[in-house]
Amino acid sequence: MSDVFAVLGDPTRRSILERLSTDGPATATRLADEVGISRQAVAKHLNLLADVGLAASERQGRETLFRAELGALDDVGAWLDRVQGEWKLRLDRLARRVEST
Amino acid sequence: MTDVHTDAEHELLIDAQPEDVWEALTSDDGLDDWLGEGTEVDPVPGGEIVTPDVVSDRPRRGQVDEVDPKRRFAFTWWPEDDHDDRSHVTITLVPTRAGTLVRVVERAAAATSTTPAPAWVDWMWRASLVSVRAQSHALVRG
Repeated sequence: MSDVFAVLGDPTRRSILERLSTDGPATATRLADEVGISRQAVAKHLNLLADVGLAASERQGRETLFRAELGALDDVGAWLDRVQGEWKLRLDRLARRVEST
Repeated sequence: MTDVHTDAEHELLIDAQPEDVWEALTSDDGLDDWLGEGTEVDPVPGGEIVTPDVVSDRPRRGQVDEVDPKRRFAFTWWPEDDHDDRSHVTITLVPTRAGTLVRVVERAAAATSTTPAPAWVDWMWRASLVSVRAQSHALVRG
């Protein structure tokens, strides 16, 4: 899972994943136009996303279409849920102490 | 737009002044209460942290990153048996007319990017966290 975190740590990469999720499959060229970076840079990001299972590609004629694969986010989601739950309990303990003194 | 993020966030409004919340957050007695008895924190940058962390029931160690009295307490910590599982925690106190808002963000160290993020991507404070997993399920259904 730290691999998924490492890949998601880059904000441009997150933005690319968000666009694929929201707008559907796209080519590297179109993503480059939308994000405002070079096609090579987008291709690097897409490869990293694919390496950890967050994106997949298929050829359609002469183009390669990339799509988001959000199943790989399940572990991240579980981590977020657990950690958020832990902080809720810790802050509740903090509040009880403050509000009782 | 779907938000993808890696920060676990939580916030709570406490009916008290920031100095009282800070005292509970960082004093020996206060730390014993919210993290667990026997918690030791050396409250200076680089200071050591040792805690039983009763909430997760997994003892942790760590290091203080930043101490800005009554405003911000930031540290890095990990389960004592897994140094690789490091995360960065930032606790911020925001005074409001209704009390002190305590905001916590925890981010896995593996998710820390060296590229500076544009403000709209990174600092999305929310009252409650929408789980990434819930979003991905919603997308599959929708």
